[in-house]
Amino acid sequence: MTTIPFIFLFLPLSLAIYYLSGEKAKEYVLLAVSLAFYSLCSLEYLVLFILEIIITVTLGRMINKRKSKPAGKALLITGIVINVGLLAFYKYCNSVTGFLPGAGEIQSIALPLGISFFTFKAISYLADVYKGTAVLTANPVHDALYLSFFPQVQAGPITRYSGMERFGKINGRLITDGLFRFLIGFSKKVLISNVLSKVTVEIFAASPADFSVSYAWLGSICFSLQLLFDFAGYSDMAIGISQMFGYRCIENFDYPYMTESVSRFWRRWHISLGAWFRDYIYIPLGGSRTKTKCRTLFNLLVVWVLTGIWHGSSWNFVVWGLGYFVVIAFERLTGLPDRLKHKWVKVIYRILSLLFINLQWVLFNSKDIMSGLRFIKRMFICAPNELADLRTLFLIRNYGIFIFAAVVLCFPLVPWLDKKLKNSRTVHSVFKAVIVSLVLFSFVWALSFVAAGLNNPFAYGNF
Amino acid sequence: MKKISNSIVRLLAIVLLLLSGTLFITGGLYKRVFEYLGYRLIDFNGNMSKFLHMQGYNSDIGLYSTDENYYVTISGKTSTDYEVQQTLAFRDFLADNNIQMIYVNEPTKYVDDFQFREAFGVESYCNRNSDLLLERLEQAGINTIDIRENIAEEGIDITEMFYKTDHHWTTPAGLWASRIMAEGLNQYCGYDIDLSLFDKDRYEYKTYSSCWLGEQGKKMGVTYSGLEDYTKTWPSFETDYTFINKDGTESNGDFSDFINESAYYTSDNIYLDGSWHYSYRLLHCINNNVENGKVLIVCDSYAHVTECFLSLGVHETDAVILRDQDDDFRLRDYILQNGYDTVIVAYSENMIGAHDDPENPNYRMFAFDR
Repeated sequence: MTTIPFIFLFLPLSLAIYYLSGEKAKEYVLLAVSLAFYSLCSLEYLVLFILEIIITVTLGRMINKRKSKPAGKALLITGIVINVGLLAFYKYCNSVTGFLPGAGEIQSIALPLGISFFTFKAISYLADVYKGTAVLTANPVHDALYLSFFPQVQAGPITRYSGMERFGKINGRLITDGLFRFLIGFSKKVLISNVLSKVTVEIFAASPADFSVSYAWLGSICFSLQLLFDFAGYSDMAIGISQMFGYRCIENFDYPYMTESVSRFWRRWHISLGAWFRDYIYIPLGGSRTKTKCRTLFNLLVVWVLTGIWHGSSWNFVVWGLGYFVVIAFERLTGLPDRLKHKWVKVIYRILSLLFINLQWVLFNSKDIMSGLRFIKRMFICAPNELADLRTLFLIRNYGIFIFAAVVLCFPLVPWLDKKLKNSRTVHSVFKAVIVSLVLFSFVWALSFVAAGLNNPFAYGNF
Repeated sequence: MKKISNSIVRLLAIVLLLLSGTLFITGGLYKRVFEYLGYRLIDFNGNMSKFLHMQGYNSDIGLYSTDENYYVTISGKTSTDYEVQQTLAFRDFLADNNIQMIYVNEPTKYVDDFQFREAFGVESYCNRNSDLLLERLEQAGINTIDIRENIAEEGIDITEMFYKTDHHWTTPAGLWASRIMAEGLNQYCGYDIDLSLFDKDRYEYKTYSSCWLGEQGKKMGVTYSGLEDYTKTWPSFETDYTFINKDGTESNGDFSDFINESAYYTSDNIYLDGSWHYSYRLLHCINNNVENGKVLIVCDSYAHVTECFLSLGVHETDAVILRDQDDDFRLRDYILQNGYDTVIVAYSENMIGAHDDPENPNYRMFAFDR
């Protein structure tokens, strides 16, 4: 979605055909466009993708028409097993070595595009139909479109079937707003995330024994920013494109690094994933309405182990998930974030939460647990004269403006200014014009980076 | 009825749109438009990178820009074991066949690794790798020429020897280096080359201003560094050559046959133009004005502007770039078949350690056992 042919050929052509189509044909056209997009990105898995859609939609329709509850349950389980089985086969068998040290690599197969996201959407579709919370439309093409909708197929957001709604009649405002959102997302992804990846790739590839404390911190902070702007950028693009096609798409990020605590971070970061685990794992297990605290903790443990495994097939992801489990369980049991009353204590707790999240990202981005721990150790322990080095200074000089912009954009500065300046019409208009100009400039600059060869895949595209 | 006609109009519009899209892609217009758009965007990117002083933007491919917009690349540390082993075995093979050998170390764009660290905070082992290799070759009794020593002795600023946006040395620098190689042939191999042949006053020069962009510059964008000048250099004295073509046929000519003038005709897209460095050809030639010497230069692309000048002092000169040869090529057989009396291995420092990475295009450059 960040290539020049996509932006200037595929997207405008698709939109033009879509707008020209009659109301009844729109969903068919969009399904065809989505399949065309999938085939352009992952042609080798197109047949599998279509089969998965057909099987899931057929099962969903059968569950909807079930005559008895056990039959519906059996169909639901069948659908879940098929989808999870495929995910397990492609994602985990492929890299079984990540879990089994010393085991030889079983096979080497590429991951079908967005398989983790597809699986979660398919499960939510089947479960919602089973529970009756999703009311199926008469046309199964709508179901197929929900599962394959191209702006969301690669990395979410994990929308629900009932959330696949049209805005109503497409108008100019809807299109320009969608386009504006797309431009913002594209700029976030390319101009900030891709540029910062130059720093993180270098630092995470180096041996911790060879670098200074400041170098380690620079790497960890840049990675935290890179991942946010990669994924939030993709989500903005997905929301923007959906809107241009007249569809609503849920928000996936809410300034996550503004969080008050670790628990609340996950209500701001990848919101749709957190909600999915809550609705389809945590609550079915009993959630927090259990007889004992132990059972609640167990439910929480299951959620976080699965969250870790969903993100990757190696032990560091499991440990990463367990890390969140421990801190979130602690916050829950003690109620600490809510008990803090003093402003400065709250600020300190926020900083500590961010520090924890930052360290977790280090583990997340390391090739194994030991590398991650060595990196973290280096962030705090150094030999004399190893606090800073020339390389860190050079990287800061070189990429400082991008790091600064990323940090500023972690705060809701633009919405805040927008609200503040609303009282004066002229000032507000000037402010809006400045923002539009900045976004357009950023978009052209981001495009220039793509043309110059900086076009990394989306980090979450592999999940 | 109105509904049906509306549907037909819509359908026709969609078909028309798809047809024009297909024609746009298949007709080549797509490629031209995106190519044009792409290069203008690269120019914009270069401007922004320059404005922000992003000297290490291409650090992932080891490319850095100095404050003077002079591009330099990083070299990793290497043991030089492979290079030493191959060179010694090659020397023994040549000695067994009464063929002399010289190893010439050609500099990269900087002669001080520590300046690289000071400027970019990262270690480059380029010069230290060559120091180590040369030391080991000398200990093994191989005749070596380290051109960096001549640069230091003559107080030359290395940045004046190289293009800013390309990794090659300039044509006048190639002429200057050819004299040093000729001196080496005289000193180590008993040649009697007239060194006045390389006096710069005996050459004519034509400078093209801001006319081309080097390979490194194409990555950074022309707006970052600007275009390069190019100085065409040729002897003002008369020359008489016989060229041995690839198919074994011979043709007579003079020094001008080394120069491919068509390289100087540029298109309107500087990014698609070839490198002007390659306007000097590597040719198997006989200099009819000189009686002695039959030299093979095992070289890299630096030799495009040294072989031609060195040939002015040697009877027969030939050049081979190992990375460009196909798998059937046998260097040792080639040497024996052609009966060379001297082999010069002339490599830039970038070649040292290339064998550590099988993906490196220069991986086979020290494979003298072929």
